[in-house]
Amino acid sequence: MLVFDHVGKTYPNGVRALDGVSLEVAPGEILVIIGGSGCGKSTLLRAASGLDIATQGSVALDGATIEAPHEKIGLIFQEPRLLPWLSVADNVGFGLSHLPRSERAKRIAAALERVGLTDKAGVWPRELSGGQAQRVAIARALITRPSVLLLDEPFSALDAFTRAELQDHLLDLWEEGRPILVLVTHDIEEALVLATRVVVMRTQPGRIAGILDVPLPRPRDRLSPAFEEQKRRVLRLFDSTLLSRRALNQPLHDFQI
Amino acid sequence: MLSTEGLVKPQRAQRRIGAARLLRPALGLLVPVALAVGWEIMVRTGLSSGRLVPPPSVIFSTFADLAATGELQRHATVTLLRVLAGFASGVVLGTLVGAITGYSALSHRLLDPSLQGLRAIPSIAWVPLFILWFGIFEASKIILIAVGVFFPVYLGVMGAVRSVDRKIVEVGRVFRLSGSAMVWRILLPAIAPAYVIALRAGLGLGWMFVVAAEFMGASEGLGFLLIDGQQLGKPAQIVAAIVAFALLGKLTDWIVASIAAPFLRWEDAFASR
Repeated sequence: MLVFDHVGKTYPNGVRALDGVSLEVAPGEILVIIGGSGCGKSTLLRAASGLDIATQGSVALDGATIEAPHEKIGLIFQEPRLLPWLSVADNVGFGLSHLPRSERAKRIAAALERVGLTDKAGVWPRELSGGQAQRVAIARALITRPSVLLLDEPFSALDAFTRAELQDHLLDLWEEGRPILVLVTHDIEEALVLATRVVVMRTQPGRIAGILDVPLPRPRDRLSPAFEEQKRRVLRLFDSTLLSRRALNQPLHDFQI
Repeated sequence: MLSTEGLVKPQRAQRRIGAARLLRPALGLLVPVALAVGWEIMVRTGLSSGRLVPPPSVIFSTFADLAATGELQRHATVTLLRVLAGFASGVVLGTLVGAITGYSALSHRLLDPSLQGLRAIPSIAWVPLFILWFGIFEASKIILIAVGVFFPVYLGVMGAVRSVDRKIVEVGRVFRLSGSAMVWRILLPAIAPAYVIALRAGLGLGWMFVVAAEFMGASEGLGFLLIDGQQLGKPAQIVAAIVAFALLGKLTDWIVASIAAPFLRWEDAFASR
């Protein structure tokens, strides 16, 4: 259980990025946090990762407060952030340096196979496409078998086709061990494809505007009427300042937040 | 440097082989060879006496004579050892101090202004003081060379550590690397390209300063050969010593570059295409 308890963040210059966010994420859940720029969604995720510390409240995993990066919590950034001086295989195995060589090689091979990049084991990161590099980053984060995987807009730098492909791929990987996933995005469709619950945030300071269960069966059809209906529910939760009433009456697939 | 990794190494890219590969370096030889041949002809035909600027054949025979008597090897070895001792101490100190001031903001604020101030002093200006402090023998020479090597290495390491991408450092933090693992697995590889350039710049300055050091009173070394050639009016010996400097400088630089090359194959650089 990952628990956010009245998490707030005030920067030294006095700007309040995040104010009193409380959430409980149960094992096996995919929680997607969605909101516009500056709503504090990345700040919230970084507080859970232990890279930054909340100035108010706390984040705890299974009762233990997170004050630094945690062994059981993996993090994937918007950019792959592969180490350019290591081969793809060594990047994937970066978190396994404590294991003996043969065991490490076995785990790396298995991880690369799961993300479909076995043939890229020996190449440098610079030779990968954006989607491949992000898959390597996912393999690197999952190889330590975390119980929580945090993803900070992991697919937002990719083209639409690669993005959809990687969303499905992430779900396949999640099915294997069902870790808690907490994913931050600004893409409503991405949120609804992935989430068991969607948290909608609003800005200044970042607060929870509402939480929605997503009752759609998997695999989810992005074009089904039920999917469209869920989009409507999410949109209604956003501030009316963000979306005019006129926009709400238009076909929903025409815009993204 | 990357001893903990290295399960799988990317393949070296296939090199193009052909006439162009042999011709390109040859093109660079055209100008110096033409000048040398031209000068040789001028002297042979009596257009110039070649007394102050000896022709290539005389330089070559002087060089060969010095080598045959073992003089050249003796002087070159002494100079080489001075450069190596000065280079080694300058690199060790420059790397340590550069890493510390690059890593810690406090020590940067504390030390960098003083070091930049010292760097502004032309190192030759230290010579009289070093002779007073350390005598005229090996110590003062090696210290002068070390000072010359220290600054480019310090500057290179400090600048490179400070500019390591915060995003890459965060990857290390997420994987909970200890301080030493962070240095060994993230910072060192990240600064490797800049470090190699700093080492080569330092080595170049080391060769510059060994000449200055040997000018300040030496009975051995290539710098002594230069002074000796000047005092005895033997320009061919001076040029022979200069040629020896050029060969040794190029050779040591090549050695540093070759040792570094395997660590830099990952670079996605303009020049690696």
